Amino acid sequence: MPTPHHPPENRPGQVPQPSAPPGAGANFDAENRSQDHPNHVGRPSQAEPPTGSGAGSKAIGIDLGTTNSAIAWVDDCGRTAMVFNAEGEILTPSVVLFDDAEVVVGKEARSAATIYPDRVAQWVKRDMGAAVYSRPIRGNHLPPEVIQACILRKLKTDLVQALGPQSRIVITVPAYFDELRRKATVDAGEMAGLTVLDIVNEPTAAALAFGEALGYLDCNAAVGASMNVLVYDLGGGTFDATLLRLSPGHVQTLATDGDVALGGYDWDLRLVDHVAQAFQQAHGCDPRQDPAALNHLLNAVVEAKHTLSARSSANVVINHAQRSLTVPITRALFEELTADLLERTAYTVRQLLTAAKMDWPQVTRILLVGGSTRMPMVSQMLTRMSQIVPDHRVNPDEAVARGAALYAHYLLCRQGRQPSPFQVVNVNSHSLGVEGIHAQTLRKTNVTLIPRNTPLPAQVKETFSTRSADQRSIVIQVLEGESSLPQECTPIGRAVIRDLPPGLAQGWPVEITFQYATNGRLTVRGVVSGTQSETVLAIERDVGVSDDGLVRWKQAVTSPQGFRSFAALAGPVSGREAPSSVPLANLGPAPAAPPAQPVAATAPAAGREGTRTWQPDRGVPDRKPRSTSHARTPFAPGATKRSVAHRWVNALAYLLSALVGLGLAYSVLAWKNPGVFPWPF
Amino acid sequence: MRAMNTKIIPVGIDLGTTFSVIARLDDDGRPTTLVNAEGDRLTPSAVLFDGQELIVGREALKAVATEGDRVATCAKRDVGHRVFHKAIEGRQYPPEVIEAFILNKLRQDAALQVGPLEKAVITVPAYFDEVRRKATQDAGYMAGLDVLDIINEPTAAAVAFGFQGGFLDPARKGQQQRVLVYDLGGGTFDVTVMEIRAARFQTLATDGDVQLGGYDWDQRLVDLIAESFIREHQVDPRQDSQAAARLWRECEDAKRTLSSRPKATVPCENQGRASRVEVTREQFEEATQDLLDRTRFTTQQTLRAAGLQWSDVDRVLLVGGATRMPMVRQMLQALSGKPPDASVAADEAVAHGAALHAGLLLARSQGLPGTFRIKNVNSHSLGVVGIDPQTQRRRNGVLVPRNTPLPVTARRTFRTQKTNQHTILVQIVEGESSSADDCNPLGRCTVSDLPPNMPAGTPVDVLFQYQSNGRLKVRVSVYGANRQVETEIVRENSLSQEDLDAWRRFIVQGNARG
Repeated sequence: MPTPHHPPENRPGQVPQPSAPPGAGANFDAENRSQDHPNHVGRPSQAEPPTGSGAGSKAIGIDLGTTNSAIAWVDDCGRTAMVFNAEGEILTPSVVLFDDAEVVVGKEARSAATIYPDRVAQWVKRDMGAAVYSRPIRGNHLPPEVIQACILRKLKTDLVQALGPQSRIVITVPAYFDELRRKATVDAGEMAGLTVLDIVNEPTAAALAFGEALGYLDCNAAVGASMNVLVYDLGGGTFDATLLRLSPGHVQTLATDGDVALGGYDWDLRLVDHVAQAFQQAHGCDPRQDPAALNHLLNAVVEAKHTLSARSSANVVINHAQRSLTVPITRALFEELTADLLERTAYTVRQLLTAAKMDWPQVTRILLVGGSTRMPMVSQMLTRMSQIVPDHRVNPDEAVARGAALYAHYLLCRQGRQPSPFQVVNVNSHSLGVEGIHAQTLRKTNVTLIPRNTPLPAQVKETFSTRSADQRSIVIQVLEGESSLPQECTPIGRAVIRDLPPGLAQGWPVEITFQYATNGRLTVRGVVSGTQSETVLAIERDVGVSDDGLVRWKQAVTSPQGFRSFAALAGPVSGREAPSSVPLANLGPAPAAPPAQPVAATAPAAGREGTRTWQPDRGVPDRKPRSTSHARTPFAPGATKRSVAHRWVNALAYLLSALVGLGLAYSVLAWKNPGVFPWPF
Repeated sequence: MRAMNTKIIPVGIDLGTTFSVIARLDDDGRPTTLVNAEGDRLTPSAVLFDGQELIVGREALKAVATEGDRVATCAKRDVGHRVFHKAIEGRQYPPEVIEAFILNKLRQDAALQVGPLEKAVITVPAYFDEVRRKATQDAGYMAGLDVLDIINEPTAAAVAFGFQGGFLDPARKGQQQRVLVYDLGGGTFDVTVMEIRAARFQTLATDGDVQLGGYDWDQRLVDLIAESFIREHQVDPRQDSQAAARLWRECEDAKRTLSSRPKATVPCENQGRASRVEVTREQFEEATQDLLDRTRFTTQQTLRAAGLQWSDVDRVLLVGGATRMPMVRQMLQALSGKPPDASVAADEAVAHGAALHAGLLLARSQGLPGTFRIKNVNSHSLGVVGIDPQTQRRRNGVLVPRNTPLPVTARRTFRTQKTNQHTILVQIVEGESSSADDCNPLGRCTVSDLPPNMPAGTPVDVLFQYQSNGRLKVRVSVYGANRQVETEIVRENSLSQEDLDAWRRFIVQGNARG
């Protein structure tokens, strides 16, 4: 799955941008807040009654991490506390063992990885959003969200044991998770029999925990003025950097950036490579080829990595193929082997500051989150960069879960129509747009409606226009990404307006509304003006597990039958559509066109609306034939002329090539049988 | 770090044999455990001497398998002795110095989260004698702490329980509870019977077993798995030190798993053979039945020493990580007829209670009223060596019998032995035996320059002032001679003030080895 992250310089393309930064108008904002019930994001949750926090419903947050997961709750005094798992610990390794008779999650599963490598799934979070987990489990392909659901199922069992029957939770995701990955996370929760109240960004959660520790969550608190906090979150598999503004009773995200495939695991792999190469030099064989030996090696280097945080050198002992080798590693060598990884995080932090238009003197504190920040190189790098000694006030392993619990508390307060003690403002991490056709160049472009780092909830309304007369359907292809080229963005869903009344004129205005909720989930609404009735659209799922699949998987996850129940489902599901195969229906070959000129959009109404040409969808059955849609293009007369000329050129070319072909054929005949076919000249 | 809170933060430290825990009182007066730099609540009480560096905690424990000769563990068992039982890299360290390294790590890691702190209460087992209490206090001093007090672990646990149960609330002063604290830690076992009345914590009786703990349960599980592995592969995984260390760690995990699930699987590998050995809770309980019986015996005995029946005990309080094992709960329930109370966090209750006590002492020093009071008993009889006039044997003249509530002042009159005696040597001993030679000498003081020609049998008054923190003041006055000598126990094995200061500088600044 390609990371839909593009450097910002790619962003300003030839696409006319909405002329005003999107942001909800005052009147809508109020209306939105009341409707913006978190439950309307997760599909099965919609059945949940929107009001009444429910007696006995505790505020619970789950940090579903790449290597470890944790649960926290808000106790009766309004403080966060961690929930211990059945093994008596706070962290549950995010590892699943698919054994014959049972599915084991946690420490035991992790230990089993060296004995049954093909039955164990780990670091699944990195594959979220993909169709299947990167490694087959006992010969079957499982969707990553199903494996995550197994982890959540175990967490739920521990939760129920500790706090009684509870199922309404908040799950955290990296700020940099895109729509696909967020949706997959919600699905995992549903499959585990949990009601996902909401998903929240990990740095936001960490900041909430930090706010709690500093007393910033109480709007009456007599703490100091507002401060800007950089949250540097280097977990097992993901990296996030986020700038927040904390003021009493208010947590606001200013900007966020990150890397969904960078974490402590990458540091481990560097050590694995180093040790394996040393072994190869000494003994001539590569322990990485054997899955069991590789897992042994991974365990050994993780131990060595931890040791190197406290000591200046560590030994990795490796046994493979009846041979043994002890590889000493110094902290300096480890830092050298991983310098580029650290630099990637430093680069992201610098980018983030630029995006927030901020400089180090304006940053008050640096907060470290995620177990990997225990590596001394992280603190040293940040101190060098910023001259600020990072803050260790909150436990990097617990901060996210605690913050998620606080967020759940906040949601339950709002549901119960109680005043919540604090407010949270988030931003989106990826630009959201729709695929449109450039009026002049006729190229497909990504029209951004909500640029990244827009405060949420956000609503943007934009007017597009139909492309042809009597158009009967419209496809809204929703894209996520910074590029102006739709091919370089992640298609996250498609909404279709069908059965338009016949006889609509070409260029008929279509109003598209993007409503982006605080949890980073998107609702799209399309209204065709003058059709009297509003058409409200829900995004059609392009990827991930289907609704039916969800129900079937849920049975497998919740029934304790071991691997068999999964193997039975893995067959049909592994054949589901790959993410790239579906949403590209709109991407035909781009017609040759003269260099595009920036086109001013039709005067935007109220500064927030623009008008664009809309392309009818080719995949929808009752569309007009393509030839008619080419006839005229509204609001872009120049483009229309060029298009007609182009058709003439094409016709001429056909004619010419036909003539040349005929001539050639006759020449051949004349050469072979000059008697029958005389040379004309 | 910019603008750290400069307010005084009271902390409590549970300095354990195998693990240590540090807790603070937060702004609302609630005790909270502080994690160490590795993110753990429990810091292994192990110290690794790694070249110029001193490593405390998980990494030191990990090094036991490979560099065992450079690691000091279980220093608490040696506290009170002059030096730690083994030399490390050719150096002899006093055990309290090793304890100070551990305390310093706890202090430094905690300071990263809450800012500088020094006011601390440290806990000791109830059976710790005066010498070991003083050594523990010295360890705190060397680690840069200002030790407000030393309190008993079961008392601290009961304070934490009392706080959580609301017994410290002045509104509930009338209530009275008798609590039996069953504390099964990693390396030691303690039973204490206490009375909580009107926010006063009074110890009625205490007893324990210094060499019994969760560690012994781990050992049994390791043996169980190893035997099963031998049956399958004819190889003993305990023979290879690396495999043994890994097996040990897996068994500790499995022990915890067996507390929540009826069976666990332990991965075990040696010489290229591997299997996952399944062990059920029943198997585990059968293999450790005798260990559990030992704790039951001690529990019954302590109750009898307190003069109580099970019906007089309102609550059985579980402390120590090993009490998570269901077998402990079942045994106590069968014994006492009531479900034991596990409402305090087993590993953290002692540190929490210590933090509450520290908060109380700080508040009192600032002139605020305290919310609760602690009454301790002494765990060993204290006396003075005298000569039996008839048998001429050295005898232990007890002044403060064991289980006397503290503070206490006791007086006993002795007589001089000879005419014209110039000096009187007062030897203070601790122990239950009537023979002085079987008791533990605590210290001595000498009254010298007595006036000449004092008759034999001149009365000599010995006064013991035993404070609630377990510290002893001795005053000797000789009738008619107008001579009085006062001393705080001088330990024979203790470090001098100069040594303490030198160590403190070295440990706190973390510079070159002393």
